[in-house]
Amino acid sequence: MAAATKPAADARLPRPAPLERDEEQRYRELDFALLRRLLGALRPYAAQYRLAVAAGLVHVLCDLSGPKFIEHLLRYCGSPGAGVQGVAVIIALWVCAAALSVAMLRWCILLMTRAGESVQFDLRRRMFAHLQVLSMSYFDKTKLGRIISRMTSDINAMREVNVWGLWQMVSNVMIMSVAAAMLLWTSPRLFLAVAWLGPVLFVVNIVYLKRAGRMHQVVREEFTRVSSNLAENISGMRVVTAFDRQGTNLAVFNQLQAANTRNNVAVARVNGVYQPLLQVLGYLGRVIILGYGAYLIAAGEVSGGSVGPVVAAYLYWDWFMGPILNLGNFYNQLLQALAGAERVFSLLDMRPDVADVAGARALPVIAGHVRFEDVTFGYDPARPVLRNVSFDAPAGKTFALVGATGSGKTTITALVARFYQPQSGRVLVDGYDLREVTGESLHRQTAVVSQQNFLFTGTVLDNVRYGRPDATDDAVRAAALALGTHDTIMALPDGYATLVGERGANLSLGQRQLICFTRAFLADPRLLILDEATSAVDTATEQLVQRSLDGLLAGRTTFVVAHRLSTIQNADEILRSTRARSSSAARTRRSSRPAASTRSSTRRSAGKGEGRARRARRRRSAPAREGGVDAVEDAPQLARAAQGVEPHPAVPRFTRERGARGLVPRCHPGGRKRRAGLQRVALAVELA
Amino acid sequence: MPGLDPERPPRAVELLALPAASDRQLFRWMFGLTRPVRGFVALSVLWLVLWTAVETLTVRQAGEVINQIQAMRSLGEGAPRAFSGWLQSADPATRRVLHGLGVFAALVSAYATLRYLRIVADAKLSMHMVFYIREAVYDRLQRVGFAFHDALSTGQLINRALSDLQNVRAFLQTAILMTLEIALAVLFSIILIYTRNPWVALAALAPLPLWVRYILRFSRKIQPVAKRVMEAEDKNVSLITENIAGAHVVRAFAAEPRELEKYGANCDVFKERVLTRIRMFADFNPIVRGIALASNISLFAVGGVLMTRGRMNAGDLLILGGAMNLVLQRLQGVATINEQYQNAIVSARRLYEVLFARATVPEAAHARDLPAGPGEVAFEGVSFGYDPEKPVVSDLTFRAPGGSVVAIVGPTGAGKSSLVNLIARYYTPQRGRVLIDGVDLADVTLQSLRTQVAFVFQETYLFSDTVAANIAYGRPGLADAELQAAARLAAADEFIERLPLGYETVLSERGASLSGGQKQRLSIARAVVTNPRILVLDDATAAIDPETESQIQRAMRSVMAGRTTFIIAHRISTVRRADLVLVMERGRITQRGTHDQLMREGGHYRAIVEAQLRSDEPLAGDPAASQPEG
Repeated sequence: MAAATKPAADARLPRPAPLERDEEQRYRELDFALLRRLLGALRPYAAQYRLAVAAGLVHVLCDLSGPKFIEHLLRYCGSPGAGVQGVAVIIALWVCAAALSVAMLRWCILLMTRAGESVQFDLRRRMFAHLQVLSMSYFDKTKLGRIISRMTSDINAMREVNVWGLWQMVSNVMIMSVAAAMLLWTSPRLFLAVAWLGPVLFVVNIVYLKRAGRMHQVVREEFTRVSSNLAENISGMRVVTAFDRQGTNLAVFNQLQAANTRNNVAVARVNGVYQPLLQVLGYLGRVIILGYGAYLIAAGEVSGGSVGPVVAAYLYWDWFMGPILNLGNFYNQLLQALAGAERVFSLLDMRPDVADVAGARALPVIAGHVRFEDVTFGYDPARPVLRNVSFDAPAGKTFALVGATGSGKTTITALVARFYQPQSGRVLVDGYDLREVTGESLHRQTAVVSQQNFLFTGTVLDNVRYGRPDATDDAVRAAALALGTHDTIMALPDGYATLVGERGANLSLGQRQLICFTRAFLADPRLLILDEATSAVDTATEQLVQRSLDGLLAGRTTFVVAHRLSTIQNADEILRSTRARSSSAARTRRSSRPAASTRSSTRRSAGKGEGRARRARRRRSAPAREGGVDAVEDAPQLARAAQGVEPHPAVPRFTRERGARGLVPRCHPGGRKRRAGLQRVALAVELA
Repeated sequence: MPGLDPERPPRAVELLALPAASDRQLFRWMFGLTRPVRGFVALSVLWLVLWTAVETLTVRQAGEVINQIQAMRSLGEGAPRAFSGWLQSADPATRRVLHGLGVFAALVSAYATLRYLRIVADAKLSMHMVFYIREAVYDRLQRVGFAFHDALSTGQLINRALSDLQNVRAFLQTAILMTLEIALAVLFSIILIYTRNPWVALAALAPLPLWVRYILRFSRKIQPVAKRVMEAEDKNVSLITENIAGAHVVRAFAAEPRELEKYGANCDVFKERVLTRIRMFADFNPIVRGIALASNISLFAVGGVLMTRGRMNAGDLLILGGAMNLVLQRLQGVATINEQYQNAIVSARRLYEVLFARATVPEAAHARDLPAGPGEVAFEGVSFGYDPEKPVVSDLTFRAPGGSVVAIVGPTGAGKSSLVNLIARYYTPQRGRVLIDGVDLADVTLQSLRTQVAFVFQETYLFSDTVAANIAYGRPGLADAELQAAARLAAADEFIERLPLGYETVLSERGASLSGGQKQRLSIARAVVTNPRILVLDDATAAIDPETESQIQRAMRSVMAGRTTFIIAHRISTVRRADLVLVMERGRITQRGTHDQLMREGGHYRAIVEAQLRSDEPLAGDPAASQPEG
């Protein structure tokens, strides 16, 4: 309807967004090394599997005796002088076999699934444990959805093999060979007349499965377009409405749907050809058995001339044919399971970038003196974010990190928390190189409050206790009171028992933030990192947070990353970082007359590619922005400067040392203004 | 506590007054969904009936051939010839056998052909049903209005459009086709057995109700168990999700051992539940199999006895067995239908809620297009709440002349976003009127309104498409020159040109590769492309670093020219240039005027200006303001 009102939009419909290719399952050949490894996971349960297979074999044998009983029944009943008694004997034997078969089936299912599920759960646990060891870099590089699918769909794909694989393999081969043997035993000539169909059936089935597998891949990929279009438009519904795109979107969506329909129908056509074809091949075997069997009877080749053996052969043929198809399907499942296994194992094989070295010592209770010595680090080693950074942060003080996005503020804190390790240089805490201590002992004494405000599903109490699970309720309350967050928590619907996280009440950013602060406070860390902790809350909330911050910061070494400068006001020192740019330009700028020369050099460096916006912005804020000046100033002033709204007033007052490894700025205390008795010192660190 | 009471949408679905329906109504409604695909249903049913009939005939024919073979044996004794010779034998009994085989082969061909037709017809039915229901859901979701989306999470809605729809579709298909198939198979098989021997037919039929009952009982019993497994699995997945999403917290608090413990405990429960389910199936499968075997054996027992009395042939016995198989094979389908019904009724309700959700912003019957004008916006005593009981904004009255810049300031939760949302009529006010150029918004078409009002939302949302497609979102098919002009206006041209493929760069994961400021500028470019009369810039710079912010502010200034602009902002530097400043507190406009007027007046505005001055922003001599453009 809406599409009809906008024919123009229909005429030149935007093409559907290009598909982001995910790791779709590709059709591949069997990888035996992988298969061996997969089977290796079953080994702890070998005894159970063996018993299950044994039970299964008994079940198969009993089941397979069925046609033989029918044959005997027909032969007996067809013979003159047959009586009810004889029938009863045959039936009684058959019932025994059937009962045994059913009992064994039950046992087999129980043992097999129990063992298989145990393998599955072992894998889950191993994967989870491994995820706890992997470094943060892995989580940065890997999409959440992808890790989840390792833990869910990939492991589930292995299930068919782990739980039923052996059974499928053994039982089908068993049924097939027993049926073949019975067929052979019943009538060798009939067997020869139909046996050739077996390989034909197998080949046709494999061809079909491969073709269908490839088509399914296309279907899945195309369906991903449908579902991601849907998902995107639902989550971007506000934009859709705001730009009145409903008509166009529906038309695009229907295009995708039409493609999806076409693909599915195409698959159905292939299924529609092959599935009946396989059946026809099966029926062909029956026709042969009946026709040739009739001839054999006519020719007197069947002992006693009874129709019984022909019927038995007819029935065994079914038993023979079924497993061939099953094995083909199983082969397909096996390939899928192996694709899953490959990804699961590759995750398990992944070595963490940051791991405790052999002989790592536990960090004793620290004072919190942090020192960076010539640290170079990049998430991608080829593109360092920090280059030769050195600074010294004495214990118990608060350090603010300011600077533009991407200049490495958060990176510095991540190195302090040893989420990453520098490619060169050292990070020292109380003189201990972080490489040589255990992560656990460091993290016990560190707390991070980040912008992400992550809370776990559970109550507020659980979350506050996260860093110190042994804390009593009273201890939690006392901490909240001391920090000034108690009232806020009590104002939540159920106070400390309020459920938060995915399924819990929606807390505001401010509320979440305060819970995170309380969590950090209760953990009583020696090192505290506040990464953009207050950037997304409004002024009023911020004031509240600010009050609790004072309590939180006291007596700890704290690193604060912030855009809002109110957060930084209480900092003892400010570390300002600038984006790594053309370093020669950056150095030129650091001249003795900063203001003027900076401007000119900025103009110079703002070359052809740089447009008006950039230039205008630089003019406004150049000195502070470019970081060309190492300035001693008070925090609010630097703050203003960093906001880009005020020209930089300060005059550099101190000398620098340009060491062989880079710049080691020296901090000169003595800001011009003092407020609240706190000494304010700015320390600019050029991260070039 | 001010500031801690977020302006959050109501979570209760009840607020939407979603349509109610009983299970029976839903059931009927579900079947109604097949109406547009009646033709496909009829075709599928036709092939199904023919196919089932042919299948039964095939079973019968195999038995007949056996009977003929048996008859032939007594006739054509003592004439051993070669196979090829035998095929040409003139012996009537042999001819009957060969003829029987010919019929058998013909039936098999028909059977295979019908199977092909069935598979294709079923796929078409299924796909067309999905197509048009999904289309309806999609369009409904697009047009139902913000309030609906506020109440339901994105994940829930996606689920409704994908898996709930599939549940309903699967049920409809099985309910119609599988039920029919089972019924027909039972009917045809019973007829077939009856033609051989009525007593045997009765014996075969007798235990059927018992089996159906057992299977239904099992599917009822297994459901809570399966549900508990699913719950444990969900919990398992959410534990993993949380652990990964919160990996930095886990690491920072050295909580790995506890995470392992938590996960281990969940695994224990999960596994126990899985094993419980397994135990049930380990009983169920052998029992169903046992039932099948028992009925088969008893049939053969009865048949065998009848045979000894000469009242039945070997072929007949085989027909009995084959016919029983046709029924038994399908009996487990009863469990499937039951299970699918249970899923479908839950899913149908959710689907129904979407398809029958009343538009939260209905268009009036007499709605006309918004006439051209300067873009004057007027609020007359407007009150609105997401929950009508709890108004978020009350009694808003103001007039913004065309081309003016209106700044809205106030603490979080004061109703600033709600106010601007009313300008584009994303919500309908409970009281009062919103007018653009003197026309009440309740009387204009949504399309004409929304092409005239452009938004830059607080949270930038970009689509995983090319940069060009994102900018031209409101005007698909826009010429390149216009596209670039818009980008230039939004100061986005430079960084776009630096992207690997320029305007053709595909944004991965909704622009994850761009910085916050870049995304923001793209969304400004997107807003100006439609050349709107009214531009709304919802507080866009809160979480952006100062460098980027100044770029964005500059971009904003250039795009504001010639439009009525509403800006929500915290920064006084942005606000002070406005022609009109509205100060909102607790849903009301408490102060209005220009920056200078308000500064003289005192009150909240001056308080926040002074607070900002004290903390982080200069009040006077904002150099950015006096800086000439370009």
